[in-house]
Amino acid sequence: MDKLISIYWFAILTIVAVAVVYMVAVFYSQPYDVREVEVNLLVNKVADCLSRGGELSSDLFYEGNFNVGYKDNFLETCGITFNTERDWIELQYYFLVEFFNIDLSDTGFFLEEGSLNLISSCDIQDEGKYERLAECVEKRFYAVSDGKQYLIKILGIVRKTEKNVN
Amino acid sequence: MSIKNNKRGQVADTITWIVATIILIVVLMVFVFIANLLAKTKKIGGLTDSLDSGGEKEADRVEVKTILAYRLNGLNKFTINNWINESET
Repeated sequence: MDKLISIYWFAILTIVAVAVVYMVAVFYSQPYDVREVEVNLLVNKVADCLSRGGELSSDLFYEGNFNVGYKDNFLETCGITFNTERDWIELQYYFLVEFFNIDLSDTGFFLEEGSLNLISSCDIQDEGKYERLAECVEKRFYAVSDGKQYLIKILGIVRKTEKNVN
Repeated sequence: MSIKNNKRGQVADTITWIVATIILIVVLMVFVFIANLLAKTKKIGGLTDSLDSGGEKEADRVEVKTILAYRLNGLNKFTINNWINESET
């Protein structure tokens, strides 16, 4: 009789232990979504590269106009890399920098890097249907250069859904 | 007569154990179900890399650039602020 009770209690303990381990595993196996932090870092990095102390970088201009050649090596100049810790087929980052005059007219000059396919994710995200497609952040600031006033808009997008969302 | 009474007592004992086991398993299943409900992706909030601009309001890192630019050229502040705040709406 004692033997039977011992076996029974061992079985109960095993069931409870398995249940506890399962609950802990399920709860803590969920990923952390750090994309909002990541995209803010990207936007801040781009902004820091473009403007220091309220002034736009002199490299942005050539003979009084925007330097179109600045786009070519922008990532290298600013020390930004789109390499990821995991191999994705497409780039997982995107940013767009637009420059406006003080009268809100577009200067026509912009800086763009990354995967263009991510832009549509922001529009869909606004509708609230698919909140986990990509993380989009837009920041705006003001800067001056040679007495002229400029408005700068930076849109940053990070996808990496497979790593951050379950 | 005495054997019959003993049999009844043993059945009652066994039923107690079975009911207790069933209750235990049901309670465990409820906890597992609750754990599954609570388990979800944990979103880490935005970067709060900010500077204290005089104690009134914490300024965003990018916002600081605007503040510094105002010191160089403070014209059209109303237009600029409206344009910047558009993105927050």
